[in-house]
Amino acid sequence: MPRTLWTTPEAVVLERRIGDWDEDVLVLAIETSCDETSAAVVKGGREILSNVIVSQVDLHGEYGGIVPEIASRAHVEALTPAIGEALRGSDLTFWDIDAIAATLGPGLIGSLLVGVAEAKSIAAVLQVPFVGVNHLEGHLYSNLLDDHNAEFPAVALIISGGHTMLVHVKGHGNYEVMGGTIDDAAGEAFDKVARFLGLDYPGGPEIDRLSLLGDPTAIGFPRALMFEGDFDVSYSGLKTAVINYVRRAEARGEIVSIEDIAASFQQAVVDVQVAKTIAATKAAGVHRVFLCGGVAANSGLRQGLAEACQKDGFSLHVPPMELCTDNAAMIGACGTAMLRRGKTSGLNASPDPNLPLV
Amino acid sequence: MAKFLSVTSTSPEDTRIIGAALGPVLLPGDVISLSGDLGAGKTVLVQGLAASLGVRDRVTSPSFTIVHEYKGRYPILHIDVYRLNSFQEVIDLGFEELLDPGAVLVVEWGEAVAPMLPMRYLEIDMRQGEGDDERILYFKPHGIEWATKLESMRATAEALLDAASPGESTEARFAYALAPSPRTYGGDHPAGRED
Repeated sequence: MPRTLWTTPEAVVLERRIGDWDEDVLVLAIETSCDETSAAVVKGGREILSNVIVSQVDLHGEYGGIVPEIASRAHVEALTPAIGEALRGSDLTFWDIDAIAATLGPGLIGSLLVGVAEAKSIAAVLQVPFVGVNHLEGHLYSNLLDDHNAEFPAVALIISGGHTMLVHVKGHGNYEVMGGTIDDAAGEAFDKVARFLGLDYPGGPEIDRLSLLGDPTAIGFPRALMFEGDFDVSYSGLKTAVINYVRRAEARGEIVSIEDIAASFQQAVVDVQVAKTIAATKAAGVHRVFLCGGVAANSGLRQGLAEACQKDGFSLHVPPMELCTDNAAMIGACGTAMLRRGKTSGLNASPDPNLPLV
Repeated sequence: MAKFLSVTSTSPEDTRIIGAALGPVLLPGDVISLSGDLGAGKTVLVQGLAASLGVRDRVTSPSFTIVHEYKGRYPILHIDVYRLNSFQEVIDLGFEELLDPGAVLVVEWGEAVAPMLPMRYLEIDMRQGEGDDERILYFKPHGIEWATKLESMRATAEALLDAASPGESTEARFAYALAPSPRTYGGDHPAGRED
């Protein structure tokens, strides 16, 4: 008979450490806040034993659309196999796990419920603690995974389709949101401009690719709030400026260069975001910059931020891409840190779609 | 009788004011369907609306996060089905459960979910006008209550716009139309497509 995930001698249960969250603590983590269904096993809060991410983006790309997994039903179907895969991938069984972490919010309530319900069920059966994790706090921990030079304090730029914010990470559980978008997230601006220009999905990488072929100084798109002295950004007006530029050119019968538009648009985002990030880092009095979220894949942003950080003597930490986008490993890392601070959740904890970071 | 009230906005500030004029007529259970060109100012309109309902939190675009909830005089649910590919995904999202009688519901790209909207709701369609900053907002009441509310909203909007830019004629901003002007960009929302 093949070994199943539930096979356990009673002795193993008895030997399992309870309340001893030492270096080898094993946390099974679940992330279902939005598009991705993900399960991971994290050892000691910093080592990834497995990180399974189920995404249907590839399948949906050909339809020019995006959303795969927002349907809670899809999470239901994908989650249990993903957990099994995460345990197999780390060569563990349920009985080796010391605690279960899952994203409590923010996110879509239906999607969150699936992950939280499953996590609480497993925790109840295994008699281990359940830790409800804030998704955004999880992003802050993505930098600590597999990068032993990354430590708190730092200023983190969380930049994705749904979020754009600068966070002063003072220590574990001690954060200050310094600024963020007042309208559109950066990734959303990339996606909408790409869709407007008729580019293939996913739009962000396509704009990044075209940018390399265009002149970033060709069109002077606005840098909103660049000199406002705070750490907020606004990308809605930039999106409208691109649309107006194309409309005007079309009205005049001119042919526009998609490459120049892409490069100039991307440069506008990079200029503002880099300036704000560096200013925030100086204001916070720290020397580390963490970059996380899907837009961390953007080559212009990486390069711009790397150059600016080098100039000011800051160290820039960018996790590998699978840790930048939504994943359970970061939830496991954050969950482990919470566990060590005694911040476990009861089995009556409910997901909160509007859970604030602080 | 004309079907649409059209209001001309000449700036994002105007659009915010027009949104704010909706606040006083809104009650829990009210549903607003919002659609229009990309960059037409849908989020700006909702920012004005939310502010007038006492929302202090920052109102940002829910295009990627799909649902944003705000606490004002009443709960406000701001939904955007921009990312959803098909009507089926809207159903999978649990859209019907979001029709909360205790909250004001604003759904962007509302035309994509039109079959799921209640009998009585306000339809807003935002179009690019002439020039970079001009937008025409078309308001269509569905149900007699909304026809009455819309008249009240118009009076508030006139007063607010007049206060914001005294001397300018606000009368000319308001007109009645049989149908919105044709779409320019961004109107072909994928969820409206047949699968």
